[in-house]
Amino acid sequence: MSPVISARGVHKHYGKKVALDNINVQIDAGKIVGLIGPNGAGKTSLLKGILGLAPVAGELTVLGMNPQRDRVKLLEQVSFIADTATLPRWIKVCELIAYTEAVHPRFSRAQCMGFLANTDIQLNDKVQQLSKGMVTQLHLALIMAIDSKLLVLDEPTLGLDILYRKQFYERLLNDYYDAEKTILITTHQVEEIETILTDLIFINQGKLLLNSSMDEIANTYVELQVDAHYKEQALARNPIHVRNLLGGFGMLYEGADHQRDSLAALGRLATPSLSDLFVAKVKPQICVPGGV
Amino acid sequence: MITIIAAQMKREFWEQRVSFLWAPLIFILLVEALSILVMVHPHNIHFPNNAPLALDTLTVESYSSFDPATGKTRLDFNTPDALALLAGLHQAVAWGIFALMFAVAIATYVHSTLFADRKSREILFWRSMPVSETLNVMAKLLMVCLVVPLLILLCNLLSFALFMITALFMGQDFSQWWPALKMGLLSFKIAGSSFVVMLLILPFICWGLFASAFAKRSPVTISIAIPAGLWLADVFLQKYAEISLGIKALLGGYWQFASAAFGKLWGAGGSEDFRILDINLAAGVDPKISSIAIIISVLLIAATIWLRNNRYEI
Repeated sequence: MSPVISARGVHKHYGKKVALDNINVQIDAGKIVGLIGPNGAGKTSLLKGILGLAPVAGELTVLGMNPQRDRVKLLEQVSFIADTATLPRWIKVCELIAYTEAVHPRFSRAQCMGFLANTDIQLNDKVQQLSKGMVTQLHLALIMAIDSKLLVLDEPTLGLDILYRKQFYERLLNDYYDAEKTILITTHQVEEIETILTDLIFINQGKLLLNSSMDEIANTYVELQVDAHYKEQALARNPIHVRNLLGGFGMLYEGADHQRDSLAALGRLATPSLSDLFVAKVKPQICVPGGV
Repeated sequence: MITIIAAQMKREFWEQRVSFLWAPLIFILLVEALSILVMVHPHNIHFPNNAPLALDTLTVESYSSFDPATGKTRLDFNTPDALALLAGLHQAVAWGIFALMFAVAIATYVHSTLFADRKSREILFWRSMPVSETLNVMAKLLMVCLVVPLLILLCNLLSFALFMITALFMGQDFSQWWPALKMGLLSFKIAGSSFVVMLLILPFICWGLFASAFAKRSPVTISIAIPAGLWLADVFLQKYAEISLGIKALLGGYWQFASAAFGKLWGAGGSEDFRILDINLAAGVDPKISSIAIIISVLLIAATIWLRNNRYEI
């Protein structure tokens, strides 16, 4: 099966600033991929390239199409939610549905109405009358009613309270996702999505720092929560990141399969959270043995 | 494709409700108020220099009398078919008012429509839909060139209906209704001229859309500054270097063409041939200038579509 997204040697720069630096990535169907990076890392540039909203250099195909050249055809099979504030505020809900139904060949009004039936949104409401959470519900209902092969979510829950954020991902998983669909998510709230991801990509300063499945990550990375007494021994095993814990340290190891047993003798082993792994990859902080 | 263009045009209509719905409704009420005023005080109608005025098949002369005291011709509403004449006059005046209102609406619309969406995050939603910029731009052009004349027709018909109802309530002789109702057909004739007017101003509409797609900060400034700059450059080059860019000649020629056409449309006020609705705008049109105008319009639209696809990243 051909990959949904295939990028080889993709790069982009704005003047002297490099936004994407030789990105190579392949995403297969049925995956839920988290694209994580700090502000200005190049996430949005990559997404824009994937969606055909901005030209990028190199080889980039989405569903076998060139996103820039075949944007309209591509968007029949790719949906995206940029963030919570992109729905036009002046439009009525019924008009939005009528418009989407008219222009999108894979949109199902019945499905959309079904999703909206579980909300407090009325068809005659204007978007500007809805709360931020309801706007997101509406956008999600519209997008989930489109039978697309790839869904791109760029900070989809930004500014929402925790209830709406949880509901957003629950609905996405329960009502939308299946083995045929691929979801690409960027967010800063990594802890919210780490349980639903199948794959993870870290990007910083335009470069890929990590591109791996969640299973591989669990096998490759381990965090040792070590008492201060064993600090030196733990540091001697070359952690990629060290952080302070109450009464001890958390040390993150890469390629830890072969030394799990010896690390376990020093303290408690745990699978690192995505946020810890992210910090470790983006901003390594290493103490050398004998250091403070 | 037609479904998508229709959906895009509906979207434009919804987005521009103020210009395309509420403002026309308000102006219909204003015209109605004016009609009532005229029906209450019909003797206030007079024409400059006693010029004979023809209105389709009706001639004002038949229903007017010259007042030597004021030196003006007044309509005589005691004559038969006076309601028909008033109805016809209502149609012509209402069209002028609606045309002026929509001229302002169009100028605002074409200068803002491809600029404002780039400045708003909502473009991310529109761009998430499988609609090409070609269809998007064409829908906006059709809104101006097709929907606006139809809206003018609709406004005229609504306004005319209100006028007739008002006339009935104001005790007009019911026997005069049929000839007056027939004057309602003038609306359709006027609609035809609205389409011709749209074609006359097509290069300006396309220029406005181009400026809207091109501008980084102010489409109106771009829209005025570039032609003014080119015209000035042409004037100076002709004067001091005897080089012609052709801009001055083109604009001058187009101005003559348009003013001649509009002159026919509105009638030459004050002359002996003061006529309303003598609409044959195509007559006397310079084919060379009109061809250039159409070519320029097509090029501007092509450039606008290119700008939308390539100029600014979202």
